[in-house]
Amino acid sequence: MSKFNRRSFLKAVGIGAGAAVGTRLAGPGFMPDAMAQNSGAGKPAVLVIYLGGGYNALFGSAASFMNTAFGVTAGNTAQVPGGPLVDASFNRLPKAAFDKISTVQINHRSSDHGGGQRGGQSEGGPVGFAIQLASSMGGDGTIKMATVGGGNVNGLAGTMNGTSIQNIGDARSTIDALKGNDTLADRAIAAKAIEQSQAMSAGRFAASPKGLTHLKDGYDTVRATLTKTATPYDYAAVLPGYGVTGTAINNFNSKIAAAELMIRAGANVVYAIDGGWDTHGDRDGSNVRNMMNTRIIPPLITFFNRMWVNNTEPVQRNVNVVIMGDFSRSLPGSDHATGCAATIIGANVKVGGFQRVTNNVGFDPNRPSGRGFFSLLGALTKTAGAPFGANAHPDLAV
Amino acid sequence: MKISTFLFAIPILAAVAACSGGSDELTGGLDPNDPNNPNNPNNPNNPGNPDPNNPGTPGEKTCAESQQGYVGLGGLALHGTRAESAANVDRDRFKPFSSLSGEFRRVMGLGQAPNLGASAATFGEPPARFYAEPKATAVNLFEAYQVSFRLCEANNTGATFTAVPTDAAAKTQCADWERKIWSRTPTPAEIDACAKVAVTDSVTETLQAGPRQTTPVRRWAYACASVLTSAGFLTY
Repeated sequence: MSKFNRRSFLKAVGIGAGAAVGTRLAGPGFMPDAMAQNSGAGKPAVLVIYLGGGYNALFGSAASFMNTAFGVTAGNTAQVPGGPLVDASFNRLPKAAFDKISTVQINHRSSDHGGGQRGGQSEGGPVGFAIQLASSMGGDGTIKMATVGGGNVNGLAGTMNGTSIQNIGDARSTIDALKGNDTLADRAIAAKAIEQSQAMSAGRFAASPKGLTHLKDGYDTVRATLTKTATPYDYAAVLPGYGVTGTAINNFNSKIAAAELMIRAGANVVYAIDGGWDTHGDRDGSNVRNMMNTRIIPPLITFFNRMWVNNTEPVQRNVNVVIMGDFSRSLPGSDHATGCAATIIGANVKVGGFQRVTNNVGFDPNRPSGRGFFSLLGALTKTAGAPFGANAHPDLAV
Repeated sequence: MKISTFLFAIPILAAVAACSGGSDELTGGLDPNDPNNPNNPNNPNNPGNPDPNNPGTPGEKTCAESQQGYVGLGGLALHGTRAESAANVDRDRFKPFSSLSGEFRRVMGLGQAPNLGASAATFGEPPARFYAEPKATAVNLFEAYQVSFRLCEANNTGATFTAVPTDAAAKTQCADWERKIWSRTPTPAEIDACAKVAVTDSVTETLQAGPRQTTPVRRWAYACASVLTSAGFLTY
């Protein structure tokens, strides 16, 4: 049995007080091992959880349907302080994250999947807004824009200033590229060798200037990645933190784990795409609630705990999370609405500016589509020179 | 004529009428020797003539120039939104992961196809009965290089690969690899690019414990893998 005396009590109090002072007043730099905070002034990143098929507005605009549609009742909703009434599934997130939830309309005016996706991602332009944002955010990451575990969304394409979409399909090979391994080919030599591979490919690039753009982008990005000095962060510990045992990124749990890995490696924007959300006939919302509670929320809890609450990496971050889809689901049959009520969670989110849809899943005709939405993300990440113009949703950003 | 016979004949007559054209339909309604006929090879404006600025390349008609126009309902051209592109360009595609094992066996002359199963997730091989157009990324290119390096290191046997690569030896070996792997004769610049990896770029490896001299077999493997990671092998 351990002794508890006056000396040990004072020692414990002193350590606790010191830690509190160290983390809250002096900042992480004062204590190297202290947990870094997630704050609006930190290193920015955006994780987009894209629900292929649609994202029911019952999650971010629950008040619109209270006791009338999608099975929304007082018992399955939760109130964000000063913000929107949301589905109770979000109340399982850490309080720090729950308190920074708000809702924004993406009014793309399209009720077909391709049109809705394009409206939210590119408005038909050649370079997706996410890639433009990732490029404009700068930073020292060599892979600035990533998808984790694959998946396609219309409009999520293109290249801007060397930034293109890099898919992460396996954590092992990704960590090998980021950090190297004595059993593998040397990273620095591999970078030079791949530079020569690229030079040998000049003829093919000339013959297929558009079709092999992804290959050229891949060569450029892998050379930059291999040339960069490896960071000391233990990337291999990320997946086990989510209970993932293998290295393949093939389910939503591993996708969010890979998203954390990539954000810690310097990625600015990461897309985790999940399928199965074209929920026609889900009139009481039970199908989407079940998928949200069992598949989406559990790894998100881990993500917020690791990135916001207990971030052991001595880097102060500003990690924003977006949940969106092709469109919201319409009434009465949970079909296709003409815009998407997206959820945003971030340190710079002003929750009181939330934008509810009407009780028939209608959208404000004055709200913008994807470009306006990404102008908000530019504001939340404090991206200087964001290519989307002024923030079209000033009420939603502090 | 019976009514039933008449009704049967209607679609046939309609089809005959639709397929019938004037006697000069194939010539676009113009005399082939007419100097104003755009299809006349003697007409300098014939888009099928060779491009005078690039005489080695015959002028190719674009789809818009060569296709038959059809007007649909509402007077809209059915081909109005068809994507336009030059002919014979952008035809290269990234090889699917499922083909790589056999391709390594073929170009390296291996006894059996290597097992690349551990790399499947990196390349994003689609599930059975699904198809996704393969694309290169930074990570799968690095994985392709690593796989190539291991195969080269394990299978490059013989006196050549136990000796430190010289410039002459490297050029000879690289030319041989490139010919086999690309199924064409490489250019001098392509040979030099491969040889540079063996002779110059791979002299010293950096391990966690510090730098070390790279063994000859690994120097050859670095160069061999550079050819296997080029578009000449990874695309078709």
